[in-house]
Amino acid sequence: MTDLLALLALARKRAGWMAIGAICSLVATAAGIAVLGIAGSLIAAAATGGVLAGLLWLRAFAVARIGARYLERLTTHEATFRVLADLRLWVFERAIPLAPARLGGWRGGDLMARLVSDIDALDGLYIRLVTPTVVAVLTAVGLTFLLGAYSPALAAVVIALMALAGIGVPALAERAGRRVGAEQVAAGARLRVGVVDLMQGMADLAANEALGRQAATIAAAEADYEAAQFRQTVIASLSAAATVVVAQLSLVALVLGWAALGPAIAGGGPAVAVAALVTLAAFEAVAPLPLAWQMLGRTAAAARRIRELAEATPAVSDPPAERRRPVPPSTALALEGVRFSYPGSPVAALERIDLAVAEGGRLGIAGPSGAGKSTLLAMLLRFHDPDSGRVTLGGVDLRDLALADVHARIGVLSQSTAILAGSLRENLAIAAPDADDAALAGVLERAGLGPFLAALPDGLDTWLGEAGVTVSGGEARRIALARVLLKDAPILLLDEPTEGLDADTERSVLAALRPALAGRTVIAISHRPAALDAMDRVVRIEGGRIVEA
Amino acid sequence: MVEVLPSTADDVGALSDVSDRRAEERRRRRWLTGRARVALPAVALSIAAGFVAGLLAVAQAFLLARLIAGAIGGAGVDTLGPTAALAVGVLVARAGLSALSDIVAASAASNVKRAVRADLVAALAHLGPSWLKSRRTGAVTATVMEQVETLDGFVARWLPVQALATAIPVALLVPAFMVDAGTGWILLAAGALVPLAMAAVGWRTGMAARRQMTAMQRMSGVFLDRLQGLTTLKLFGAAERELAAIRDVADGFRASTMAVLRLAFLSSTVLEVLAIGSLALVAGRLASALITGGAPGLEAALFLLILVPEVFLPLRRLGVHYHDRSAAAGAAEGMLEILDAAARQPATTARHRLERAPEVVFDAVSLAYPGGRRAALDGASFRIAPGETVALVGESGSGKSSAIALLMGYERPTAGTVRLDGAAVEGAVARASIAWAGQTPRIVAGSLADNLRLGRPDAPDEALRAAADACRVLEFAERWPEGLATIVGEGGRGLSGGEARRVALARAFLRDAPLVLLDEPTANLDRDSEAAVLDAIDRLRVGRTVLIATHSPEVVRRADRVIRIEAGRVTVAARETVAGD
Repeated sequence: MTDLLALLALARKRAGWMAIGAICSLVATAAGIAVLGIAGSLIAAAATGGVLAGLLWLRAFAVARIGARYLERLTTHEATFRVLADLRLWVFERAIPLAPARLGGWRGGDLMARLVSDIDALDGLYIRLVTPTVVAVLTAVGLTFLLGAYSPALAAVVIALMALAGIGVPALAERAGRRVGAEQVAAGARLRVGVVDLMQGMADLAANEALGRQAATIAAAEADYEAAQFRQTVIASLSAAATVVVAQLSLVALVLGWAALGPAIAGGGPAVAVAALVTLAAFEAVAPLPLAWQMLGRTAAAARRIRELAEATPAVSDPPAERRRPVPPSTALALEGVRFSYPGSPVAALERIDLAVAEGGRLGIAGPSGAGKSTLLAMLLRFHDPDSGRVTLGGVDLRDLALADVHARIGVLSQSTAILAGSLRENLAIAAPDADDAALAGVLERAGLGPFLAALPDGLDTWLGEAGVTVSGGEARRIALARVLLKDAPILLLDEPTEGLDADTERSVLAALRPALAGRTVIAISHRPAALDAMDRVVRIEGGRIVEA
Repeated sequence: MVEVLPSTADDVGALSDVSDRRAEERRRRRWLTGRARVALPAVALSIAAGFVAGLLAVAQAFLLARLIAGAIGGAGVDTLGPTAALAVGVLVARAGLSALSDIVAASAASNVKRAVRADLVAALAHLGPSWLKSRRTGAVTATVMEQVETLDGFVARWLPVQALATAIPVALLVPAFMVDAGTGWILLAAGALVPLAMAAVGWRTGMAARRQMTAMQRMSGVFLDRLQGLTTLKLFGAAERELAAIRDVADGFRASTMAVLRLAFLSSTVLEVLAIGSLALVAGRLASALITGGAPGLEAALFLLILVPEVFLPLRRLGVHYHDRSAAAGAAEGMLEILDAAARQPATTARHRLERAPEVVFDAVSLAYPGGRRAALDGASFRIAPGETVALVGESGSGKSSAIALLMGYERPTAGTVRLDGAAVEGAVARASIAWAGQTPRIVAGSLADNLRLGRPDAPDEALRAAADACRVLEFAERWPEGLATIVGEGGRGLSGGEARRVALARAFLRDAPLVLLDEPTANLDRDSEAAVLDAIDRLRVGRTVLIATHSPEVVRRADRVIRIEAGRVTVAARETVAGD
């Protein structure tokens, strides 16, 4: 429930739209009741040979009902989809500080399920639940007064039946839908993960003749998903049937009660037409409630998953304003007595690390795979905070600096740089949004991508990444290099900058990199000696400790 | 003359464009109907139940009219009791039949969706990595997830509603005419207007639905891509700037969804106008008839008033669910794109697994990627003898990975042939005999052990451990509390690039195939680990043909022979030492 309330609070910005929708809905329901009430009074009048009054009102309310219903649908849906778009932005915004430490094993499929289908599942919260519940309660109050004017006893019977349809059935539906809804959300996410694994792992699965098994994994998730969805339909159909039965039952009960009380009722026999038709119209207000409450389970499960992501505590966060220090001019970097272990891991990834690079210094870090080199870089980028000890930039603890300020001072060249689906220009613009074409062509040239650019069919506008021109490993590394050159930060971190490149390409990438090292503070990690040639000093770490300074 | 020609040609082009689009549209509809065919018995049952429920409306209206008329006339409970009991029976039966109709239709839709998803997954598997390269994962995922979901509306709602929208009103017109011909004519006239009103709205819904589907694919594509590149964006301080793009696609999806819904609301409003308008006409007519004391009398008038909304109920549902059909037709485009592409790609059946190390021959093989800058391979020829271990070297981007993709059958040569023991490699034929480890392996959701067993699900534990040990997987896995049982991949523990490569290598070890293809097996490994992995490969290569794409001088030193590729051509196919060694 808290999950839903929290997400409901996010809709505040669109409260105006929601209120208009609720008012329209109320007008439509009231007009519907008026239409049938007037129709009933017409019948009563005709039966007793009275005067036909209110035909004009009948038409007016009929038009009002249609118009208000249309406006209600437009406004509630507009409001809802605006809220969902806001939510997508909000969740993405909240995911930014989580990367990379807290996004951990989430490789996209599950995150996408949260951003796409889980947020879609919230539409029920806004459209189906809140407004209809408010309208149903108000309608019930109105009906009590209306029928009470004829006979309090009959009013009590009808309201009791209305409560059965509007509270009892929805409560049962909610109970029945709770587990199913959670299953539906979970199975849907598993299904999406299976599909993303299939596509991004196609080469591995095909080579290992595991496509059939992956298809079976997907089919199993889908079977669960479809089974949950089918159960939802069964619950929805049965509760809709129950609501209709109760509505009609109350009509029959009302007529029978009328017949029993007979002349005791104000207006006598003919007034039964008014009472019966008004009751029928009023029940329209509770009809959508069972489905709305049934879907609460699914909505709540989706809301939980969204909050799990959006409200996860980032591994690191900006310091409070009073502790925040301005970025020091010095680019000296140091780790002092740093110990760090990954959450849930009993073994320390780094232990008693003391390292310092003076401004303009060049430090190489060597060591076998898994020795802690990448963890060390992650500490310098403040992806994690040390368990003990501290990391400093210009003598200031990184924890006292704004993260964005730290990242603005550091250029990173690593083997894991992402090429985004987008044009070459967009891929470079992430480093310098305002750079002009001449500047972009310039850094591409310096990164050794002159011939690459010349061969591209649409130049800087050529689409790269997924669904675009395939770039080779060497080209991807050079694009990353071009980004670093564009960013022009005073500190450079090189994370295995030439891994996976052949000797010739390695040499030319390093040659392109060399001029950029001048005047910068550089830390490079590699297990390959060639990559550390240009460093002033090389330390070696093994098992998370410095073994050779 | 000459100046007129282009514009004429354009006109002809535009015309054929329109008729092409219509033909496409018809094809999509036919496909949808065809896919729904398996569900036809269930849909028919659903329609039958819905139809009987619709007919029961007559009995219900009759009984309720009798009850109300009785109460107005001052009849007592004992007179009305039996009618009331009957009315309750009818309404319970009717509600039950409606529920049954919905449930049966939903189960039919469920079967259709599962069949289509299974076909899409099979089609994607058949198309393989080469086709996917030109697609965005997020967009294809949206097709398999959201677009298939539109079939639910099509089968479970549109198909029954479409049938009932004609059958029930026509059936209910009969008693209406019998009781009062004037009312009958009013309803008939209003009913005749329905198709016109729907057509006025309907022609635009198809386009809007397709736009919505495109917007949905675009949104999924951008989300997945930006999430996977989030760390890079963050390091450049660009993540916040990307929010504008996120807002853009999210807003685009909202706008296109609302465009569809506006039309849907319009069509249901038009039907509501018809329903309420006829109700008002009928009520006015009956009231004046009652005042003047003419036919048909109070009970009959009440019967007709209760019956009129029932005539329009299926039509209003038609208005509500009209967009389910457009949505499915729009989504069919995305689904058919995948299914058609798979149908165009010739089927290959896996050949028997080769028992002994095969001979590999590339005979003047060229490979050009569509839209590629230059040929990845340009008349490459070489031969690898059975049991030989060959290092494939060359600058990055020179065509090494393409050569391996050809052997795997992920790509087809644009010229020349790739032969394995004399038989041309096409599609998946050779995969049963190949163990492969790629450069950017995917760790699928599951345990680390499951990931290692990917190529040999029945591998015994000892073999698993041995392979994990030889490829230095144990080295990092043993530091984890759960070891090989640790859940990795999506939702589990993330692996670094180097760790993932070692897993891929261990997969290849476990697979135990006569031809081994390794793409950069020692990248990301320090010298000690590289030596250990190479020792393991030395044991593996006995009795197998091994091709290793590599930059490592150490791999080259240990290989029997070196093949060098430069710009897609084989320049050296002999023992040599690579530069830098």
